[in-house]
Amino acid sequence: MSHYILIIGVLIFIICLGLHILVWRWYHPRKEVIILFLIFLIIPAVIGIAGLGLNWFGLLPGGTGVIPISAFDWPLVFLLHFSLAGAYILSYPAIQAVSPSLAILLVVESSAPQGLTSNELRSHFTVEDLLEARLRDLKDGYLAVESDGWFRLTWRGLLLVRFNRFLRILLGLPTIGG
Amino acid sequence: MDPSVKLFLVLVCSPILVLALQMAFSRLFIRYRPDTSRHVIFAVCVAAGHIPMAAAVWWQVVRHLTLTPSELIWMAVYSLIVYNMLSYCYFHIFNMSETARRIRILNEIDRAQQLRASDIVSLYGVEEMLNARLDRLVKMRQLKQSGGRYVIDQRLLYIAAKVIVGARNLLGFPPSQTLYYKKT
Repeated sequence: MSHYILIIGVLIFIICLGLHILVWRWYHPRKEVIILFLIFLIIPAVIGIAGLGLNWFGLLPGGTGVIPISAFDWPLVFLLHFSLAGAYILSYPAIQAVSPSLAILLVVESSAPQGLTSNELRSHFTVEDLLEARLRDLKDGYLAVESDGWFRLTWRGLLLVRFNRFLRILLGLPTIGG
Repeated sequence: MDPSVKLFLVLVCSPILVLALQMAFSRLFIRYRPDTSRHVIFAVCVAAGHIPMAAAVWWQVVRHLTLTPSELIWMAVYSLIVYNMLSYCYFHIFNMSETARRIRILNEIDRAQQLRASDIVSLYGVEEMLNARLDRLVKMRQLKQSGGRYVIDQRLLYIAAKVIVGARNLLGFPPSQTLYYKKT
């Protein structure tokens, strides 16, 4: 295997990551997941397909000599990029939303070495932090809608619930986690 | 079939391999070691999965090629990265069902058909949310109790938390939006 596959795959990911940081610092989008998909998945896929198409018709200046890997190796390049991108996109909710588990660890460490009792820990968390922000996320992500103060699932929310329950049944686990 | 295509197809199946191992290991651990953290079980599955994945790559790709030592090393590094990244992607899908508040809230709304925000809070309150996470962190040995007080045990997730704070700063999230800066 050519080491260029690794280098180019990682390079594409780093370019997308840089673009993501710039966009977020310049204009933090509301529909974050959609923009993440655009930056990390759609734009590279479109450029890759366009590049392969141009090369197929001999329209790419320098042809395959420009980048020294064969046409069959490009799926490996994009598999590497998409696996890194997928790992980042799926980690993003932990960056965007306050993870109570990670917040607990930071709060406990900040009280080192004596630590915290359960009650002292609880005083650091509010309903707004833990639940109300997540309810807003559900609405922003079109997983639930609110009407007259009542929350109901959208078809997307229902699909997500069913998928998660199916996965837990496959794994022999109780159907509700959290 | 071109060896690159074969390698692609083998590695793309990484999440399926981990899921299959998790289906087996999860049931085994529930039966014989029910107190084991589900995240630890998942880590065992990913670690164990390296062996059948390496065997599949060798059987489908490597044994048909004549590779120089450096090419073999690059292929091994590539396969390791892609297998572990795809396993990590699957981990998040599993973890979403296991720990995500959003999924839990969606489940509660689905069971009741519709709920008010106050109903959700009473069904899935702060107390239960924190207790579940404290139990999980103790099982995963990230926290321990000493004289009735919680202290850090192993530091892996604590380091992950610090990385996330750094990432939030890099992405320009306002500090006031993060719980991490309150009362610390």
